[in-house]
Amino acid sequence: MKGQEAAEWFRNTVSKVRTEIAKVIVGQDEVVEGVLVGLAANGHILLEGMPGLGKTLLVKTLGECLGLEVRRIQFTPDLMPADVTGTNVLASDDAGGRRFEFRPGPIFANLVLADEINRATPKTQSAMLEAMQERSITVGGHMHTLDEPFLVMATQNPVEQEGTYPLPEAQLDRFLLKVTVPFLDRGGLAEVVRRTTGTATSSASQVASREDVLQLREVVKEVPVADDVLQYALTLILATHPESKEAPDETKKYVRYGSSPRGAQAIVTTAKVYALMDGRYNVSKDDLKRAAMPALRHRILLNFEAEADGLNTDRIVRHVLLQADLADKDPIHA
Amino acid sequence: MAVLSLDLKAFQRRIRLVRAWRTMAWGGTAGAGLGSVALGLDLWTNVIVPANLGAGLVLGGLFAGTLIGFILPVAARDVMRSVDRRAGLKDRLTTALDLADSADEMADAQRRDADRAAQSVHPKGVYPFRWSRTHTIWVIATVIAMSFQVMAMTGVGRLGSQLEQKADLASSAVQVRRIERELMNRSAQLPPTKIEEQLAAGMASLAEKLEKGKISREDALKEADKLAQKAEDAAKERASVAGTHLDNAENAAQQAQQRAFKEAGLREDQARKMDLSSEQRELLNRLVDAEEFENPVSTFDPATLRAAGMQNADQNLMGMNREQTEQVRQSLQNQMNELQARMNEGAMDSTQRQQLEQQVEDLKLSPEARQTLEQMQQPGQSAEQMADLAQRLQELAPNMSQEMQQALQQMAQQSMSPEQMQAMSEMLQQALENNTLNQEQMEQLQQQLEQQMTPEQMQQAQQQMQQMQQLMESLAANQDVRQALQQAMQSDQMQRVAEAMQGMREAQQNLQEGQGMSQQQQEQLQQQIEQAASGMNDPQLREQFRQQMQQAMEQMQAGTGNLQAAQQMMQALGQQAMRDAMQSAREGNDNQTGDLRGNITRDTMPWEPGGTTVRTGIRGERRESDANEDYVEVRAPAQNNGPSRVPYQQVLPQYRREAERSTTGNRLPKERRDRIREYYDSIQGKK
Repeated sequence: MKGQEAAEWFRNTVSKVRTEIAKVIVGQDEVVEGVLVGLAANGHILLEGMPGLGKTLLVKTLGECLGLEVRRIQFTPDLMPADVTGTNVLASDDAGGRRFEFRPGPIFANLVLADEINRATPKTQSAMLEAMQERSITVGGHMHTLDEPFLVMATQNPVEQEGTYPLPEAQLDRFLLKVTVPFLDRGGLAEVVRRTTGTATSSASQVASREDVLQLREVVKEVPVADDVLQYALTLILATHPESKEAPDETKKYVRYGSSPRGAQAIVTTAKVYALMDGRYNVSKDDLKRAAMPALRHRILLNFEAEADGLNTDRIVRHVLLQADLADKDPIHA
Repeated sequence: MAVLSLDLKAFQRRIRLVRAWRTMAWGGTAGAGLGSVALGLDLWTNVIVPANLGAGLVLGGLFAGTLIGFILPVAARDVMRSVDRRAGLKDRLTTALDLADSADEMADAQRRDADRAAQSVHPKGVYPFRWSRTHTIWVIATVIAMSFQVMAMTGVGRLGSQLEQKADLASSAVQVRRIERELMNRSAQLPPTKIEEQLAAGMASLAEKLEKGKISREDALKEADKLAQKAEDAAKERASVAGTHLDNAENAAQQAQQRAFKEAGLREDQARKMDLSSEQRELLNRLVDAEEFENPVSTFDPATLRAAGMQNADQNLMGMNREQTEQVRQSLQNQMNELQARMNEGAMDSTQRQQLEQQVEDLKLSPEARQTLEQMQQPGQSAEQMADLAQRLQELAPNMSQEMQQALQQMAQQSMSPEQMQAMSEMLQQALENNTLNQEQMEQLQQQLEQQMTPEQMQQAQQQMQQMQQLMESLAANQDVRQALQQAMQSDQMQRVAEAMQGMREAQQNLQEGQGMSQQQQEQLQQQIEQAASGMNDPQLREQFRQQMQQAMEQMQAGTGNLQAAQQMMQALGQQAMRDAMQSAREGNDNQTGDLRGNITRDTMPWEPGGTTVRTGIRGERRESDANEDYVEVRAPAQNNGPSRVPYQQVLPQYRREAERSTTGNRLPKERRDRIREYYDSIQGKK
C-alpha cells in the first residue's frame, strides 16, 4: 500500500479509532489526538493534568480499539527499577535444578501508562526512560527487546509538587509530545457523569490491529516536506534559542536553553501526522504551527527571570510562532 | 508550469499588473511629496524651482513607480509560495514544485492533490486590485502639489500689494532678460569668456528671481552691483586680450616703421649711440643744465622710438636741436681738454712714485731714533748723557734737517746755553709730534706726491675720458638720427599708424580701468585702423596689422558691451527704485529728508534719477557723533541743473594719466616726479 491509497487508509484508520474512542472518552479531543499522533509517529507522550480526567481510561480504550496489551504503572517514591522492568527470580526446573528465570515487568506491554512518573526516584525514572529510548531493557546481563508497537504515556500532576522528582531535561526530551489535559467543560462533565453513574455501559471495539499501527508509522514516513516548509520548521526551532538571531525578545530574555534537534524531528513528524489526518499529502506550515506547542513546550528550559515573572514555556512558544509568522512574508508584494 | 496545470504566466502577468498598481501609488506619493515640497519652497521661500519641476516630480514618481513594479522579475517559486498563502493551499504548490522530479507514489499523489487545489485558483481572485492607504496618500499629496502649483500660477492667497510688487519686479525682469540676451548676442561674435558666461548666468538668475518675486528691490540692486563688478572684470579681461593683439599689431607696425627708418637713412650704429650709459646721461644732464636750454625734450613718441630700436634713447639727447647740440659739444670738448691736461700733468709712472714715497718714509723717525728722542726729553739728564744721545741720534737719522744737525752738534760739544737748550727741547718735541727730524723736506715731498694722480684716479680719468668721447660721438650722431626719425615720422603712413596705435592703446587702457568706448569713438578708431593699414606698403605686414587691430577692437567692443550691459541693468533696476521712492513720497511715507546737493541725511533705498549716466556708487560713512546718521547711495551723477558730482575714483585715472604725461621726459627732478606718483598712489589706495 503506497501513495494516495496508503494516505487514505491512514486517515480512515485513524478516524475509525477516534470514533471508537469517542464512544468511551468524553471530550478531550486534543488529548486523544495527541495520543494517536504519538502512536502513529512512534513517539511517547507526556500527559500533564489533574487526576480523574480519564487518562487511564483513554489508554485502556486505545488498547481495546487496537487490540494491544495495556499496562499501568503507578509511580511512587518506593518503586524500584526492577518493579518496572522486571527481574530474575530463582526458580526450580522439572529436573530439580534451580536457575534464574526472568519475570518481565509491567513495561512489557504495547501501551504503558506511567502514572505520575515524577513521583518515582530518578533511578526508577531512568530505567523507564532508557526503555523508552532503546526499546529494550537489560536485566542480569541479558537484553530483552520490547514488543512493537511500544508507546509510553506518562502523566504528571502539575499541582502537587511536594515529594516529586521533576524529570531532567534530557529525559523530557525523549517524549515526542507533551499534552496538557484540560478540565472538562460543562457539557463534557455532564456526559461523563451521565455515563458513569447510570446503568448504561459503553465500550469500544477493536477497529485496527497491531500490524495496522506499524503500517501507520510507515505511511507517516512517506509524507513529503517542501524545502520552504522545512526551513520554516528550522526557524521555529532556532527561534527558541536565545543566542539565535531569529529569536524573539521573549526568548532572549526568558529562555536558558532552547529546543534540541529532537524538537525539530518531533515537530516535523507530528506535522506529517497532522497532514495525513487532514487528508493532505504534504506538510504545511500550518501543520508545523499546530505541532509546535506540544512538541516544543517541554523542550524549552526557562531561566530564573521567567520563573520570577510567572512565565511558562507555552507563552514562549506562542511568541516564537508569532515571530516566525511575521518573518514569513508573502514573497510577492502585490 | 510543467508540473501543474497552473498557468504560471497568467499569474506572473497579473502579479506584475497588481504590483505596478501598488508601486505606482508609492512612486506617485514620493513624487507628489517631493513636488509639494519643491512647490511649497518656491511659493513661500526664496528658493526658485523650475516651472515644470513640480509636475515633473509627480509624473516622474508615478511613472518610475509603475515601471519598477512592472519590470521587477517574478520568480516561479515566489508565485507558488504566494498563491499557497493567499489561496490557503497549505503549501501544496510549493511542495509540488519541490517534488517535480520525484517518482515516489506519495509525491505523485501530492502533485495530483496540488493540481486539484490549483484548479480552483484564479489570478484575479488571488491578486485583486485594491485601493490601499498608499493610494489615498498619493491622491492627497497630488492634490496638495496641484494646489501649490495653482497658487503659484494665479497668485491666489497673496495680498494686492504683494501682487503689485511682484508685477513691478517682473517688469524689471523683462528688461534684465533683454539685456542678458543682448549680452549673449554680442558675445556670439566672439566666444564668451568664463566670466561672461558667469555674468550671463547671474543676470539670468537675477531675472528669474525678479520674475518670481523672490528678491526685494534692494537685494536685487545689491546683486546687480555684484554683477556689475563681474562685468568690469569681464571688460578687463577683454582689455587684457586686446592688449595682446595690440602688442602684435604694434610689432607689425614697428616692422613697417623700421623699414621706413632705414629708407630715411637711419643706421643701426647711429641708433645705438642714442642709448647712453648712466655716466653719459649724468654727464649730458650736467652739460644741458649748464647751458640752461628751455626745452630739450624729445618730440619723438615712445612708439616711434621703440620702432626704431631706440626705446632707451636718451630724451635730452634726442630733444636737442642742432644749435643746442653744438653748444653742448663745445662744452664737452672743453671739459675733455681740461681732463686731458690734468692727466698729462699727473703722469708719473709707478717707479717714480715708489721712490718718492720711499723718500717720505725715510724721513720718518725710526723706532730707535724715537726712543733716543724720548730719552733726551726726559728731565734730569746730565750734559754728558745729552751729548751721547745727540751723537747717537745723528747716527740714527742721517736725513735730518741742516738746522737740527747743527743743534745736535752743539749739544754733543756741550756748548749750548740754557736758552739754546730750551729751544732745542722744543725742536725735539716738535720732531716727536711730526714724526720726523726734517719737517720741511717731508712736507715738500708729500706735496709733490699729492700733486700726482693715483693709479685709480688715472684709471677713472681715462674712463671718464672714454665716456666723454662716446658722448661726443653720440652728440655728433644725434642730428642725423633726429633728421632720419623726423623724416620717417613726417610720412603720412607712419603718422596714421602712430595715431591708430595711440588711439587704440588709450581706449584699451580706459577699458582696463572700467571705461568703455562710445559708439563715436569706436567708429573713429575703426576708421583710423583702416587708414593706417591701407598706408602700409608691405601686404603681409598690412594684413597682420589690420587683423590684430581688428581683433583688438572686437575684444574691446565685447568689453564695452559688458560694461554697457551692467549699466543698463543698474538703470533698469534703479529707475524702478526711483519710481517706488516717488510713489512712497506721494503717499507721505517719504523717509528721505535731504537732497542731492550735499544735505542728504537718509535714504532708505538706492535710487537712479535716470539719464545716460555711468554706474556709480558712493556709500557714505556713518557719523557716530551726529544725531542724524548720514547714509546715501547715489546712482546718478547729478540732478538737473545741479552741481556735478562724480566720484573721484572715476576721474582719478584720467587725472593721473594727464599728470604722468606732463611729467614724463620733462626736466622735472626725479624726486618731484616720485612725489607726484606717490600722491596718486596714496589717493588710489595703492601701497
